[in-house]
Formats: sequence, C-alpha cells, structure tokens
Amino acid sequence: MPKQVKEEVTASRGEGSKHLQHINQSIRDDVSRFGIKAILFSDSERLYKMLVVIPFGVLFALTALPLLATFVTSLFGWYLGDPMGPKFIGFSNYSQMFSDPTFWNSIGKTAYQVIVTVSGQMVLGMSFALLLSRKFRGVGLLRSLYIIPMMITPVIVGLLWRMLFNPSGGAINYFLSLVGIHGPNWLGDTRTAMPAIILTDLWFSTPFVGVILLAGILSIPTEIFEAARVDGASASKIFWNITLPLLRPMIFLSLLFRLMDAMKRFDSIYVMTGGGPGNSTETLDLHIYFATFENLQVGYSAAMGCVLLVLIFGVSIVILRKMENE
Amino acid sequence: MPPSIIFKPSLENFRMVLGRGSFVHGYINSLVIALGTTSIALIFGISAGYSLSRPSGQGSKYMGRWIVLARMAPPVTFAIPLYLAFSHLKMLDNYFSLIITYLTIVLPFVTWLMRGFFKSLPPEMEEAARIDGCSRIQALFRILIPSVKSGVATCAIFGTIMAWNEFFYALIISGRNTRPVSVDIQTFISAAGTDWGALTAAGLLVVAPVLLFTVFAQKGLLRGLTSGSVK
Repeated sequence: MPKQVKEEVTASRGEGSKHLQHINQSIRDDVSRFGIKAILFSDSERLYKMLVVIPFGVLFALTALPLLATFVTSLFGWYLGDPMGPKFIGFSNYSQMFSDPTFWNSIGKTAYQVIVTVSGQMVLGMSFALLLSRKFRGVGLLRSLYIIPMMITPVIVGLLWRMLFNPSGGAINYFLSLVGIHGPNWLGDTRTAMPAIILTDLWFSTPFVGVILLAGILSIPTEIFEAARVDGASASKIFWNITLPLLRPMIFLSLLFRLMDAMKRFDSIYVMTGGGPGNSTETLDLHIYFATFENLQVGYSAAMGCVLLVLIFGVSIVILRKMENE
Repeated sequence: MPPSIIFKPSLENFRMVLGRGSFVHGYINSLVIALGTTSIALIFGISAGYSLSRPSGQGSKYMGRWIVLARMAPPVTFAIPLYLAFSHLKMLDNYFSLIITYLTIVLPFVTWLMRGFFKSLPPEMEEAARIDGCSRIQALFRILIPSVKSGVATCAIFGTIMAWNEFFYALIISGRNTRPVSVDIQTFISAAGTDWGALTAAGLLVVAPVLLFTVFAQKGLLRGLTSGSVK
C-alpha cells in the first residue's frame, strides 16, 4: 500500500500542484483513518498482551520466587527463636548437613520407601492395566472405579490405613488372627512401620500407574496383536516383544511422576507414624518439616529442601532425557 | 474387640461429628479456600493457557518445562519462604495467604490443562472470528472460551479437588480460624484414644464430595495429573 502511494506521488510530482494536493489529502485521510484504527487495534493488542503477560507473571512469580528465596535462605544461619536474626554463613548449612547422621538416616529411609513403593507399583500397575485392557462384562465400570482411590484426600487415606493397621481391633490383624497369625504392632514397631507405610501407598497410587499404562495399551492398534496371534506368538511372547516395547513412553511417563511424588510424599506418613517409631519412617521430607517447624532451624531446613529438590530433579531429568530420545 | 459381621447400623457417629463446631467450621474453611483458589487459578490459568496454546514463539516449550520443574519441587521448598513472609507480615491464619500458597500447585496445573484444551481447537476458528471483525480479546472471550466450556469445567473440578485435598500447606499456613477440614480431622486422634467411629464418619464426609466430582471430571484426569510432560 505505501509503495503504491509512493509511486502515485512520484508519478504525480510533474503534474499540477492541485493534483498533488489531492493525493496528499487522500494520504492524510488514509493515515488518519488507519491511525484511529491502529490506535484502537493496538489498544486491544495492548490489553490482549496484558491478558497474556500478567497471568504468566503471576505463575512465574508464584513458583520461581519461593524457590529462589529458599535457596537464599539456605545460605543463612537462621534460627527462628534467635533474636539476633539470620546471619550469612555461605554454604555451611550444606557441610553441616552432610556430617549429620539423622540427615543420612532420612536419605536412607527415603530411598527405601521410594524404591520399594515405585517398583511395586510399576509391576502391580502393569498387571492391572493388562487385566483391565481385556474385554469382559463390566470392564467399563471397573475402569472408572479403579481410578477413584487416587483422588481421595491423602490424609484420609493415611488415617484409614492407620485404623486398619491398629493392633487392637484393626481389620488387618483381625484377618491375620483368623488364619492363626498373631499380627505385629504394625505402626509401633521399627521393623514393620516402613512396610506398612509402603503398603498404604501401593494401595493409594498404583491406580495412577495402571491408568496411564491402560491408556497406552488401549491406544495400540488391535491389528498388531491379532497379527501376532495369527503368527502363533504365545501370550508371554506378545507381552515381552510387542506390548512392553510399545508401552515404553507410557512406562517412563508413569515412572517419572511416581518417582517425583514418592520422593516428596508427606501427608500419609505424617498422619500414620509422624516419622516414628524412633525415626524409622522419617523420610527426608518429614525430616525437613520437623527441622523447620519444630526445631525452627529455617536456614538449615531450606538447605535440606534444596538438596531434596536437586535429588528429585536429578532423578527426573534422567527419565525426561530418555523420554525425549524415544 | 474384633469387628463382627453382624452389627447395628447407626447414624450416631455422623451426628456426633456434625455436632462438633470445629469440624463444621473446618468444612466451611475448606470450601472457601478451595473455591477461592480455583476461581483465581481459572482467571489467570485460562488466559495463560490460551497464550501457551498459540504456535508462536518458544514460550510454550519453556513454560512446559518450567511447570514440570515446579511440580518436582517438594512443597517444603515453597512453604519455608511463604511461611516466613506471611509470619513477617502477620498474615498467617488468613484465607488470602492460604489461597496464594495453594495457587503454587493449582495454577500451573490449570494453565497446562487449559493449554491442552485450547490446542485441541482448530486454529481456523480464531481466524474466522478475526475476519468477521472480532478483536483478539473478543475472539478469546466470545468464541474460544465458550468452545472449551467442558475443559474449563474439568479444570474447575480438578482445582477444587486439589485444594480440598491439600494438607501440608494448610498444616503450616493455617491457624485456629482458617484451619481446613483436612487438618482438623486429626483432632479425632488424641492421646486419650481415638474415636474410630467418629473418625471414619468424618473421613467419609470429607471424601464424599471428592468422589462425586471425580466421576464427572474423569475426562481430563490423565492430562491433568501428568501436566507438563504430555503434549
């Protein structure tokens, strides 16, 4: 458009000034017309940009600022009961942490809890997904019922299982007594507390793995299975050579989220044992909670929080890399 | 006392739970916080999700990564600075601070879920609206958002459930006046002993709305729970 106008202007230069004036006028008209429109347009554009930028800013500020603040806090010796307030000590919190046996204990408990829980859930989730991927009467209902446990309030899940594990009158020991076994004091014994905690999460979060893997299995074209069956492949061959390789992305996906959530699991452990007896179920997340809100060692806790974040990040990034390569 | 198969059903426990002022108060608190969190998350999450769904720029990719990263962070890394800030501002035990804290988990979730719903719309839809003379804002509010109504409903339900189930932040940020039911329910367990009957009745009352809504929101469940890593 402007190019055309320019041509007109150059072409008309030799002709009468009246004509030039006319064109000038029409350009001016054009500019003012487009000017108003442009202002209106840019106004809406500005509003539009605000609509887009502000939520982003809010989202970023809400998540990035606390994380940054936690890191900064971790560089301070900060005891909430101390009237002197925080004191900058660099990375001393980190070196103190690495020589603290209770920190290493909580790392060990976290590793134990996470590895046993997640590997159990992957195997169980796969079995449930295979089962629910078959066609039988009522499978639709089962598929939708199956996802319900994972939406239940985690605290209530913890309380429910605390009740079931109760040595006097709890359902688990009652059923054990029916077959002549004298059940242990599950949550009160350092040897059985962690298995009980793990069992609870197996019940609670296995459906998550199951649902993801089920979605994966159902998205595999049935012709593939039919062709394999026609070629005479056995059920176990089909599973190992077809289902499993095709499910790899879904397996990594559920593994990623299970690892992330298991490493920061708090609610149900807190209400079931509160880290006890002794510190036999005190995972890192609980350890940090007690260090912050009972011992009031804010700087030290923030440092441990950063370590936990780095651990989760490290584990996740390995899986994310694998997922991206697939 | 072993549990027995033959028992007399009674509503006595429910009567006892509902007769407790703190439980009812906690229930109302949970409702206020959950609805407050969800409405704010929807206001910001819908427009952020929309802009992420546009093909232009690398923003979408980085934002997706950031949302996954934020999901990795243990709640305690958000809770420590927020607790320090709110206690410094004398804002502990305050609905507003609880809602801000809850938004750290609900907002990224709603944003990512909405991005998916907007992405599923054909791009011609917005173009057609623009050609017919809508401004971008009009196109967004009159055409696009109404087209993803069911997605907005899914986000609303999920956001509410997430906030309703939240425990850790509530334990730290809430106080006597704003304590939600997830924290209050623990008071049924005391050193003097636990009233299991009342506890289960209370638990059922807490879980009931979640179960009800889960059935309605199944559609977006997977996409929501794995936000950030699935396209």
